[in-house]
Amino acid sequence: MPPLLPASAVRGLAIRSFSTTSPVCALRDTSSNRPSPRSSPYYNNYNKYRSNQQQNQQQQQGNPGDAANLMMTRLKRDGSVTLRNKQAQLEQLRNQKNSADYLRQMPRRWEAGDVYSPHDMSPVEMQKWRKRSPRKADVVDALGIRPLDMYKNFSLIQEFTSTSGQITHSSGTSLRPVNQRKIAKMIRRVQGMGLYPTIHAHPEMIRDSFFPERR
Amino acid sequence: MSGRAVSPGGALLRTSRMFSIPKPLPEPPSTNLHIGDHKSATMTRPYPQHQSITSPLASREKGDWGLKRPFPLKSTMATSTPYIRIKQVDTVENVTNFASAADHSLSLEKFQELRVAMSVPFNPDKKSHSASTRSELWHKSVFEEDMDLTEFKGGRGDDRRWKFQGPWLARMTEGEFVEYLNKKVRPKRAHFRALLKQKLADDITTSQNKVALDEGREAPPKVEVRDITEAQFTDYLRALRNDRVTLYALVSKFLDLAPLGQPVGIIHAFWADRDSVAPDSPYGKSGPPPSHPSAGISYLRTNAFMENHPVYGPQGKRAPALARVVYPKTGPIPPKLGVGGFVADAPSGDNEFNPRYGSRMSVNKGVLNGITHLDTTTFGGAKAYVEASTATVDPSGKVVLRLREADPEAQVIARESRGLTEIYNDGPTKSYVPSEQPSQQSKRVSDEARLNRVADEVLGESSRFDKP
Repeated sequence: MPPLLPASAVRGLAIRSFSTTSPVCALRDTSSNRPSPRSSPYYNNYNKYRSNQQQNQQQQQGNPGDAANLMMTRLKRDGSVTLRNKQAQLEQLRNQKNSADYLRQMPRRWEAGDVYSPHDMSPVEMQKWRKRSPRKADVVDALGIRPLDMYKNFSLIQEFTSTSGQITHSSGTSLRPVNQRKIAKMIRRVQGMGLYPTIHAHPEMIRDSFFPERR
Repeated sequence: MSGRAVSPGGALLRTSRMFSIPKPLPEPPSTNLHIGDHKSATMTRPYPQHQSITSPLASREKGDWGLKRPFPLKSTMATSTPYIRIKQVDTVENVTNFASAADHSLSLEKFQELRVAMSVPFNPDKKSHSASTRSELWHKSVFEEDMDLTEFKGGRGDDRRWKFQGPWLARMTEGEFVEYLNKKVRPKRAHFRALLKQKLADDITTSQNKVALDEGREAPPKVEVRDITEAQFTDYLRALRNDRVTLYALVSKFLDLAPLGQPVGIIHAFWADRDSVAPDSPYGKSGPPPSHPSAGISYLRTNAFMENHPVYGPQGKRAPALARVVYPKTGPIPPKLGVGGFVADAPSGDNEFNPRYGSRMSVNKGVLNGITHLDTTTFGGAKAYVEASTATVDPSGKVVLRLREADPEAQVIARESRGLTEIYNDGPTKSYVPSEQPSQQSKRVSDEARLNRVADEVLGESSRFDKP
């Protein structure tokens, strides 16, 4: 509450009425039960009567300028609230970008049950998680497939051929000799049948590099 | 110690460190079965593979670790954690291949400071039995006598074992499964047919006896296996092929398979009366652990004990541990916390680790700093107090901690013990007397409320106070 004005000033303000339009009346007449805004002669008379009657009580009831004051403070407060919200949003966006930038340097996806020591958090260690580790296991054995039946599986053939259609060496496929021979035989057959190109990857597989907008 | 037949020199050699180092454990399997996934060769493994050894200071100064040759002082003396693991006692280059084992040694030490009791996996969707709902309230220790058994006795407790002769089919790849069928299962066909014939004979005998009992006659002679005709047996096999529940129970018992989750679409009550392994086993859903379900990392049987504070007395909640936010929340994946070197999921529920958008509760509690995005301002990263309630061993041998939100009072006490806050009051306490002038205040309040209403009307915001 703002400090109360001297009683005489309060009385003077209360008696004088500059305007009889309802909003102003409402403003002046805050301390009483505020009637609904109606611009009727009856209302004006009533208002005058009320103000006369309240002259004595004015000291306890408060300052008529309070409402305007309050309105100003509230406008300011609302403005500051929106400003603060906007600032918080900006701050959050900046934090998100900052966080994403740092997390790009931390490619390891932790799982529950992993054990870490300080060196696991180091940049050197984190860089090792960036690229896929080379395959060690025999895929054909793990999947239990028969390679000779896979001649129509072009994505599988692409895994075992170079981009120019050559069969990958067993050091690159990490297959055991039996399976490497079977895979190589299958690729020779499918290329001999004319189903798979001998000098480039299958057109279906490289379509995206020629028509990227198709996605 | 070693037998009397061995010479003194031989006994000395046998008990020496050089010969008593156990064989290394196998490399932990990849969890997500993608061959060639992202990983690092130098990362800390989820469980130690080599024994960690240490040596007293006097011996270390001489480079003596009890092995074939002295160790380099430059690397073994310049550390505060003198633990090493021996990868190879002797190599062709005439050196001993060793590395620091401080990572797992210190993790073990920290884990034992947490005082976590290991428990069998918690099965949330087991709610049909009234008996089991009571036991859901607390975790069952892995050292309970009815759970901690390995040997197959053919009795009632068999279904609670953690070790099985057969494999866990859910974890096998297609190729492994085909090989298992060809190498292990196919040679046992004749044995299984004989078993089925015996079961058919028993079934027929039981049903005959029952009919006879109902009609008040003498029980007919027992049906033997040799009485069963080939046609009868073929019919029985055909019927059994359509009865997947019975067949599954028979096969898994015969091969002693590790329990799998119950097949989809089978009614619980119907399933329960069959003699199968699945319903009672705590490892039915999560899979059997590769080692003892305690993994030897903690031998506590329970966490139902009270901690005593030297000043405040017995504590209702246990001392919380400071957890590091290892990775923030990414989409649906919960944030990861690191407690004592073990990564765990953040506690679920309405707490500071779970941002809830559009809920009123989150406004009061707030979200911890590093949860929604990485905290780059706090020195050393965001940390929070959590309480480790229990831990389980999953099928790939990882120790998975379950965390709980820490009690605020316990957090304050933990912070005070580290000297971060002062709450202990030794002096006399003052009673609080509320100030008087209640009547005037209420009037002020009503005045202010009226002013507020006027301002609402003028600013056109009355609607926001109209709500009840």
